[in-house]
Amino acid sequence: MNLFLILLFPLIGFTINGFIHLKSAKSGAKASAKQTGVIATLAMFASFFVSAFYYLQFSGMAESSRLIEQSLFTWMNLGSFNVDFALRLDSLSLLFTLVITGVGSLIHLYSIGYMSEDESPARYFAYLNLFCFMMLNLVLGATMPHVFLGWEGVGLASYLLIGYWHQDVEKVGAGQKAFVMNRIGDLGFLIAMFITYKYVGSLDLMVLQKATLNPAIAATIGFLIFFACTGKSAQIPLFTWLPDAMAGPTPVSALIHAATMVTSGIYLLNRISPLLLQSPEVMSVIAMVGVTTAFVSAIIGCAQKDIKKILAYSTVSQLGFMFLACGVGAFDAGVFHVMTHAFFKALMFLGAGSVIHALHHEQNVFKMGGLRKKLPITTFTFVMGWAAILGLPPFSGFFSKDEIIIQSLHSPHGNQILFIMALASALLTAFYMTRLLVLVFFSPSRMEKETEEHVHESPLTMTIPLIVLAILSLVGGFMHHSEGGHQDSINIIIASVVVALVGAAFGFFRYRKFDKEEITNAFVEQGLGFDVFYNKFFGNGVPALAKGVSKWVEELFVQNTIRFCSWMVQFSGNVLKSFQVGSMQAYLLMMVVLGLVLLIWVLQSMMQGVFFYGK
Amino acid sequence: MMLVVSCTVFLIGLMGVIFRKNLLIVLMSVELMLNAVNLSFVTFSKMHNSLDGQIAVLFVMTVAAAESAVGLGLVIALFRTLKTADSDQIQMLRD
Amino acid sequence: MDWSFLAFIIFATIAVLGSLMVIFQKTPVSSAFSLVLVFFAFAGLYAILGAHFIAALQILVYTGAIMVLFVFVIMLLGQDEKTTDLKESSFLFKGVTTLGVLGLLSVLLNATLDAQQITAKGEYTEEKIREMGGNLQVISEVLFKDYAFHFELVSFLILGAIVATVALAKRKNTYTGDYHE
Repeated sequence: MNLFLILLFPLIGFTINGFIHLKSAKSGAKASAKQTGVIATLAMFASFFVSAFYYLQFSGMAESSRLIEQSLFTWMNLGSFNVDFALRLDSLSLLFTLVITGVGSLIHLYSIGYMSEDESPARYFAYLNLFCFMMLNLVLGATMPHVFLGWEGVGLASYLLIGYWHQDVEKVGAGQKAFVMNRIGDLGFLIAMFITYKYVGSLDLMVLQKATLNPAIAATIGFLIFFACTGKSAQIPLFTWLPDAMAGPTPVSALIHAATMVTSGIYLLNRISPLLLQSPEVMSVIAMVGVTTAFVSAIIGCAQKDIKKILAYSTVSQLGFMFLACGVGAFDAGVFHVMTHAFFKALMFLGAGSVIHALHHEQNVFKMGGLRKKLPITTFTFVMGWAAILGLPPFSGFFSKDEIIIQSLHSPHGNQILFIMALASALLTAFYMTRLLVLVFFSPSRMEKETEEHVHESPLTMTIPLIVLAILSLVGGFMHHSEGGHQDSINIIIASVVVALVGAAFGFFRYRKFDKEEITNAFVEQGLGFDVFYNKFFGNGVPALAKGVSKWVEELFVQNTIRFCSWMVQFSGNVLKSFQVGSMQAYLLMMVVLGLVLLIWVLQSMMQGVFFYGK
Repeated sequence: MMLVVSCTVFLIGLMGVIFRKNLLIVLMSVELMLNAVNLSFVTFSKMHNSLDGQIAVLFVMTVAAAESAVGLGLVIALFRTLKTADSDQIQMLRD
Repeated sequence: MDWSFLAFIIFATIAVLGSLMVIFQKTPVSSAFSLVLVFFAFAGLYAILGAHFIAALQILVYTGAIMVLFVFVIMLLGQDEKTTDLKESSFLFKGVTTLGVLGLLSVLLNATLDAQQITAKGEYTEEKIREMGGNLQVISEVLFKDYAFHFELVSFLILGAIVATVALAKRKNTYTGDYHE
C-alpha cells in the first residue's frame, strides 16, 4: 500500500470530471449527474478504503510507533533550503483522513441526488474532488509548505464552490468574501513559516514540534498560526465569511463548511501543540477567542431565519468549542469533537439539504413546518443530529462536548469564566437547535399550498448518507475513551445535560404552536454588526486612505520626482547634443584637450607633482 | 635634444590633423606624428643601450604602411561616392 | 664643434620647417613633397643616433613606398588645385587648437627633462654593437630570435591590410550598385 493512493484517487476523479466538464462545455451537451457523480463518489470510496486499510494497520501497532512517512520527490531545492514532497501519517492525520474520506464519500453520494437537476454536474464534482485532494494534502503534508499548499488549495476549492452558481452576483460575492477573509489569515501562516525557517532552520512539522525555542519566538509562531486558523476555521475576528458561504450548494456546506475544511484550524493547532504548550499566553488567547466565538455566534444563531444560516452559526459556535478545547490544553478533546461534529453537523446539513430539496429551495424556517409526516427519514435522522449536538446521552456530542466543558474548568489552563461561558453557549445552542427542529418538522405548517403538495421524500442516494451519518452520530461517541475521572466530573456532566434540556424545553414550548413569522432583532440577525463594522472601517477606510495617498504622496512626491527625472534627461541631452557637431576636427580638438588634462593628471600622480609642487 | 625635435614634429602633425580638412593632408599629418614617435623610440633605444626601441620602430613602420594603404583606399572609396576629400562634407552619419 | 652636432642642427631644422610646410601648404602635391623632405631629415637623424638600418628603411619604406602611394592617389583623384580649408576655420577654433597644442608641448618638454636623467642599463653599448658586426647584424639577431613571433604576427597584419584595401577598392557602389573596375 502506498500513502499516495489516498491522494491519487480524488486527483484522478478531479481530472476525469474536469475533462468531462470541458468537453460538455464545448459541445453544449449536459453531462449526466449520475455518471459524473458515480466517478467522483467511487474515487472517494477508494480513498476511504485505503485510509481504512491504514486504520487497521495502525490498530495492530503500538501507540508510539504509529507513524508512516513517505517522501515522493524533492519539491524545492535552493541551496541549503530543501523541501521534500513528503507525506506523513500518524494518529492525528489518520483520524482527519478517515473523516474527510468517510464523510466525504457520503456527501458525494448524497450530491448525486441533490445535484441531479443541475446544469453542470461535472464541474461540481470536479471541484468537490479537488477539494478532497487538497484537504488530504493539508492533513498528510509533512512540511509547512505542503500544509500551506493544501491550506490554499481548500481555500480555492471553497471559493469555487461557494460561488458555484456564478450567475448569481450575490453568491459570487460570498465566495470572494470567503477568499479574502481567508487570505488575511493566510498572511499569518506565511509569516509564521518565515519565522520558523529563520529560527528552527527547517520547515518540517516534526522538527518544529520537537524544537526548543526562545519563548517569545514560540509565542509569535503560535500566535501567527492561530491567526491563520481564525481565518480558516471562522473564529472571531474573521468568522463573518462562514454564514455567507452558505450561498454554495448544501452538500458543499456540509462537507467544507461544517465537517472538514473549517476544522483544519484545529488540525494545525494540534500539530503545533508542543509549541503552544510552551506559551501559556497564546493558549489563553486561543481559549478566550474560542469561547467568545462560541457564545457570540450562538446569540446570533438564535435570531436567524434561514435554515442554513442557523446551522452555519451553529458551526461557528461548535468550532469555538473546539478552539476552547485547544486553548485549555485538551487537544484530544478538540479533535474528538471535530470527529463527532463532522458526523452530526454533516448529518444536519444534509438533512437541511433534503428539506430544501423537497421544498424547491425554500430556506426560511418560518415558511416550513409540519414536515415530519412528509419527510419521515429526514425527520428521524435530523432528530438524531439534534440530540447529538445538544449532548444528550448516549449520542456522540454528549461525550465530546462534555469533555470540553469539563476540561474548561479542570485543566491547568481552564478557569471559571471559560466554564460559565461554555455552559451558556451550550444553553443557547440547545435553544436555537430546538427552535430549528420544531419550526421545521413539528410546528403547524406555514407553507404555501402549492409548495406543500409537491413535498416528497428525497431519493435513496440522499437518504442513505443520512442514515449512515445518523448511526455514526449515535455511536461515534464510543470511539474514544475519556480520561475524565475527576471527582466532580459527574456533577458537571449532569449540569450540562440539564442545561441542554432546559434550553431545549424553552425552545420547544415557545415554537411548538408558532404560526407566524417571528420578529427578530435586526442587529442580532445581521451578525452583531461585525460585517457593518468591517464594511465601514475597511471598506470605506482603505479607499479613503488610498485616496489620500494618491493625492498627497502620488502627486507631490512621485509625480514630481518623475518630472524632475525627465527634465534632467532632457536637459543633459540638450547639453550633450551641442558637442555632437559632426565635424571630425572638432572631435579631435576635444580629444586633444581631454588628452592634455589626462596627461597632466597622470604625470602629476606618477612623478610626485612635477608641475605644481616642483621637484 | 632629439626628444625636443620629436615632440615638436609630433605636435605639428597633431595641428595638421586638427586644422586641415583635406583628407590627404590629414593622412600625411598622421604620418608625421608616427615618424615623430619613431624618432623618440630610437632616441630612447640609444639612451638605454637597448635594441627594443629599434625593433618597435620596425613594427610601427609596418603598421604605418598598412594604415596608409587602408586609409588611402578609404579616401578613394569616399571620393568615388561623394566626389570630395573634404572631411567637413562627410557627415552622413550625423544627418 | 662636433660634426654630429652640426649635422643634428641641420637635420632638425629641416625636419621642423618641413613639417610646418606639410601642414601649411595649399596644394596636396606640395605638402607631399615637403613630407619627403621631412622623411629624409628623419633618416639623417636616425643615422646620427647610430640606427643605420632604420635610416635605410626610412628611406625605402616611407620615401620609396608610402610617398609614391600618396602622390599616386593625389594624381588619381586630381587633387592639384589649391585648397581653401585653412581659411575656412574660425579664429576661435584655431586659437583653441594652438593653445591646446602649446599646452601639450610644454607638458611633453617638461617630461623630456626627466628623460635626461635616464641611466643606461642595456647590454648593447656602441662598442659591443661594433664588436658584434654592426647595427644591421645585431638588429637581425634580436628581431629573429627574441621577436620572431611578433614578426610573424605583423605579417598577418599586412595580409589583413591587403585584403581590406582590395575589398575597399572593389567595393560595390552604394548608389549605382555597380562594381568599380
